[in-house]
Amino acid sequence: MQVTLNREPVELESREPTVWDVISERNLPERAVVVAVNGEVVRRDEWGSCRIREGDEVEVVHAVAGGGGEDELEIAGERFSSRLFLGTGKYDDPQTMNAALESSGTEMVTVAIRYMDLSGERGILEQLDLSRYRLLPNTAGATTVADAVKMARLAREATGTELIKLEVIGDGETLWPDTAATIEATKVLVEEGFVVLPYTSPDLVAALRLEEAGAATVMPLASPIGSGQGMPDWASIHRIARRISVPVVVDAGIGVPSDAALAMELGCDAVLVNTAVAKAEDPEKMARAMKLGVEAGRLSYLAGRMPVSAAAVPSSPARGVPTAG
Amino acid sequence: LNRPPERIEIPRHLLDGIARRAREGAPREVCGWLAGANGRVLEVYPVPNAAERPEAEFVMQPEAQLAAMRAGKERGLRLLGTYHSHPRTPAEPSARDRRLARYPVLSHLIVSLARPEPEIRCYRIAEDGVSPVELRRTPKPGPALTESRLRGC
Repeated sequence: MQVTLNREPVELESREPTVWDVISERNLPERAVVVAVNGEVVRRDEWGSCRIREGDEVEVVHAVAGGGGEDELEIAGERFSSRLFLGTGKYDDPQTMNAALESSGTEMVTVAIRYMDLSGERGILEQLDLSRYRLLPNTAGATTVADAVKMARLAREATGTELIKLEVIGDGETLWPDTAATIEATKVLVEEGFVVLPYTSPDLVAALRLEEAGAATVMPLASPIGSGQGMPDWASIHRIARRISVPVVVDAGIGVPSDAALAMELGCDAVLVNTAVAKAEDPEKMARAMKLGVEAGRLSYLAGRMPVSAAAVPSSPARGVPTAG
Repeated sequence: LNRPPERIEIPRHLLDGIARRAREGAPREVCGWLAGANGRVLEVYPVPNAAERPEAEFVMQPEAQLAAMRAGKERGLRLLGTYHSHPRTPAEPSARDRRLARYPVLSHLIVSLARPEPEIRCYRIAEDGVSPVELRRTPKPGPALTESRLRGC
């Protein structure tokens, strides 16, 4: 039986085969082709019933498909759907912590290396379901490059992860980071194969130097650790979000979900929260609120905000408004 | 001989048109065909995106895909490649782009809107990997240069 297949005359052996027969005979990947008979596309669920007759013009082409994928956060090649990282300190008990982690939807949790009992019992690590959360050990408590590097190596040894949240504190009262030491420690750790996520001050130049040093993210503080003061210096955070190519994760100082939403609206890539959830009256509920705040802020950033105008702009058109007299 | 050119030429106004459609279509992805001759794009055929989640993926609407392919051939053009937009992700083939690519001999142009200015890059996506294709932007051909004019001389 003679038909035209992709504009070429072809002799088919069977009489009036179905579209399905033609596809399977030719070993074509069924999910990836588009079939038309005499110019009409034959839907996949009709392939078994649609018969090809003498003289038909059959077209079989590859379907074209693909796409940019989800709005996911990518850190050093690893992808995350949630843009909320959670800390594991300061919870009243492990049950409360796990309930909060669950309702936050987080995929990345940070644990202070000094709270991991690296000698025997694994302490906090025992309480965490590490099949669900990516572990991000942090060097909390380090005040020198040497301390931080040592802690990072210990953490890698104990947990097997290359990820390290680098903290080098320069001032004990405000817990402000020592950016010079942080940049130096970043260089050392990157050289040793770590994926370094450094905590830093909301300073553009420090952020640029960290990025140059090979940091996988830059994590500027919104306000002092554990203070819940929110983001008073949002313009500095905005400057960093605009200039830095690696993900920008706002870390420290977030008090309420509107702070997290603001960070995301400014174009930051993720937010790390600990005390605001752990010390909320209802941590589980607050964790969910933070999740929604981060999602709202991200969606707002993607939607693109309206321009700010110095003057009022009426919502309704002036035309057609009835006038007196 | 089955290899695509390592370079593809496209007039600026056609490229601008693709970027404009990508912006207008956002947050949904847009897609279409590029047709031309001798490695030079002469016509762009937009095709509706029939994906279930058009914010994250594209599937060319089958009827329109075929119609565009026919339209190009009827004008005596060759299919040189496809284009699609990434409203939120970079101008690089995603895992999905690699998995579903079925035209290794064609060039695949990707418009990213992840940054304020659209970024446009072109690739060959084969089973053995992805390689960049140089995108050469050319001026819009003036009326004096069109074939019919030349023949009329």
